[in-house]
Amino acid sequence: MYNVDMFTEAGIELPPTKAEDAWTYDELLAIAQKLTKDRSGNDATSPNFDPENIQQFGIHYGLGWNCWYSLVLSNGGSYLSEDGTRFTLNEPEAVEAIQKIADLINVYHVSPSSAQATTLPSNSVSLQTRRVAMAINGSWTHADLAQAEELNWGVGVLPILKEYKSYFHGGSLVIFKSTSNLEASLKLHNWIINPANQLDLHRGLWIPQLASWYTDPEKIELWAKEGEPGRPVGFQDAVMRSTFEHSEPSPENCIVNFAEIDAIVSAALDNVWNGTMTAQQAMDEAAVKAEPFIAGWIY
Amino acid sequence: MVVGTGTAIRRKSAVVAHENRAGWLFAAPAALGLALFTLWPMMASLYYSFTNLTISGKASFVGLANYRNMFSGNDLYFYHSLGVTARYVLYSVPLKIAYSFLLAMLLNQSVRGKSVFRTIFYLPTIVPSVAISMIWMWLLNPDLGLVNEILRSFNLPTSKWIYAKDTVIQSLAFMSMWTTGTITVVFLAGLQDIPRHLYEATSLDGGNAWSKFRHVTVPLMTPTIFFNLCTTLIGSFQVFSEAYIMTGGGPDNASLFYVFYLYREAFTYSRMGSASAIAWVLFIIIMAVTALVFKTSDRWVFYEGGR
Repeated sequence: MYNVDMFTEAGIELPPTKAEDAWTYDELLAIAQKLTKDRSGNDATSPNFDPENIQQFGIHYGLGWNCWYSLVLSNGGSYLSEDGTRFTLNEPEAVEAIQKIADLINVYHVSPSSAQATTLPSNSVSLQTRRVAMAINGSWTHADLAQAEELNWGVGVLPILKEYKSYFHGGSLVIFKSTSNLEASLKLHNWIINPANQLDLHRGLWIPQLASWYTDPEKIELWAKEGEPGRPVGFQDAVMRSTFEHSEPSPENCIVNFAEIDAIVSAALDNVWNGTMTAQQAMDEAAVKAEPFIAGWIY
Repeated sequence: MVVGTGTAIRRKSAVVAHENRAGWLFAAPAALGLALFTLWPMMASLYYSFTNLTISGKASFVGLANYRNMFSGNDLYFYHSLGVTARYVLYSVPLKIAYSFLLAMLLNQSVRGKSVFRTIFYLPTIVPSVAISMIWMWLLNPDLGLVNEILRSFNLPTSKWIYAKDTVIQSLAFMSMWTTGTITVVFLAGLQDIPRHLYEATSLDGGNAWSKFRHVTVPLMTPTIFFNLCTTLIGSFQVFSEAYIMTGGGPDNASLFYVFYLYREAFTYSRMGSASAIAWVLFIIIMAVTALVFKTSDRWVFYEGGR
C-alpha cells in the first residue's frame, strides 16, 4: 500500500495493480530512491544524500517472514526442498531475494532498518504522516487504513524477481483427531470460515478462506467493494486476484516445526538486515541449526 | 521470678492457646496465599518438569528427558541463554550496586532540596517497566536517540546500542542502573544508621574524607551491601521484560535471557513440561549463587555488636 499524494506530488506513476504489470525489483528500487528523502530534502539518488538523517523512506519492507518470503518465492526459492527433506533458504534463489531486501536497507537506504523502524509508527500512521511512501505488509493493515480518513492511499501488487507469487497468511483452525464432538466442531468450523457470518471482519482485517468468495461477483461485492473505507480502487486486482491467482501454500501452515525453524531463521536474518552478514552466510548457518527440526511439509 | 499457682498456669495456657489461635487466624490469609499461589504451583511445576505437558495435550511422565535435553546441548538455546544471562549479571550487578551506593551517599548529604532530589532519583523505579523500555528505546535509537545525539555533539563515536549483537547486553545493563531506587533507599537507610561519633573520632584522629569512607562507611555498610547484593543478583538472573519489549531476544538471540527463553518455550512453543524444567534449573542456579555469596559473607560482612 502507498500514499497516493506522495506519488502524484513527486510526479511518479502509481504502482501497478495487476500481477502481470508488477514492478521488478529494479523498478521498485528506482522509485523508492526518488521517494526517500533526508532532512535537507535530498532524495536517495542525490550525491549529497545523508543516510543517517532520513526523513522519509521510499518503502517500508516488513522484515517478518510473511513479508520477505514472497520475494523468495518469486525468485523460485523455497523454505524447504520439494520432498521436504532439506532446508533450502541457503540456495541461490532464496539467498538472492533475501540479500536484495537487505540491500534496500543497507546499500540503498530506501527502507528502514530494524532500529529505524522502531521510531516509525504503524504502517497506517507512517503513511499518513509521510514517514514512508510505500509499505509492504499484510492486507490486515487495511483495517487500520480504513480509519485513516485524511489519508489518500492505494494498493499495488508486490514487486517481483521472476514470477508473481504470494500466499494467504493466517492462523489454522485445528480440529483434533481425538475430539469426541466432531460434528459440533465441524459445524463451528464451517460457521467461522463462512465470511457471510462476519462480514465486518472481512472488510479490512481478514480475507475469505472460501474460493467462491474470490470468483462469484456477488460475493466479492460483499467484502471487496471498491470505494468502501478499507477497499481503495484497484483492491480487487492488486490484492484479491493477485493473491488468489498466484498463491502458494503459506509456510507457516504447511512446514512441520515451523515455529522452531522460523525462530532460527529470524535470528540469523537479524544479522542480514543489520548488514553484519551476507544472506548466504546467515542462511548457511541457519541451515545447520535448523537441520534437526526439518521434518517435511504437512500437506 | 514468681512461680505461678496451678490455676494461674492453666489460665495462662488458655491465654496462650487463645493467642495462638488468633495468631494463626491473622497469618492465615498470608499462609493460604503462599500455599495456594506459590507453593502449590511450585510443586506442580516440579512435577510437570518430569512430563511432556503441552498446553493442548495430556501430560505423560518422561523422567529426566527434559533435563537431559537441556544439558546434552540438543536444545539450541539453553547454554546460550545461560551465557547471555551470566554476562548480564556480571555487568549489571556491580554497576547497580556501585551506582546506587554512590547515589545514596550523595543523597545523604545535607543540601537544600534534599527530599526533592531523593524523589527525583526514586521516580524511575515506580515507572512501569514497559514505559521504561519504550523511553530507552528512543534514547538508545542509533539515528535519532538522545544518547547518540549527545555523543555526536562531542564528536565521540556513536554506538548501535541495543541494535547490535556485541553491545546489546552492555546497553541493557547500563539501562538497569536507572531503576535502582529501591536499592538506593536501602543504602540510604544503612548510611543513616552509621553513628556520627565514629566519623568524629576519625576526624579527631586526623582522618580525611577518604579514611572516613574507607574505614567507617564501608565496613559499617557491609551488611547493607550484602543484602542488596543478594536481592540484585536474584533480580538480575530473572531479567525478562527488557528482552521481551525492547529486543525480542535479538539481534540474533544476543539478548535471549534465560527467563525469556523460558517464556518462549512455554508460550511460543507451548511446551510446559520443558519450560518447568528450565525454571527449576534457574531456581537451583540462583540458590547456588546466593548460597555462595552467603558463604563468603563471613569474610567481608561486618556486624556491629559481635560476630
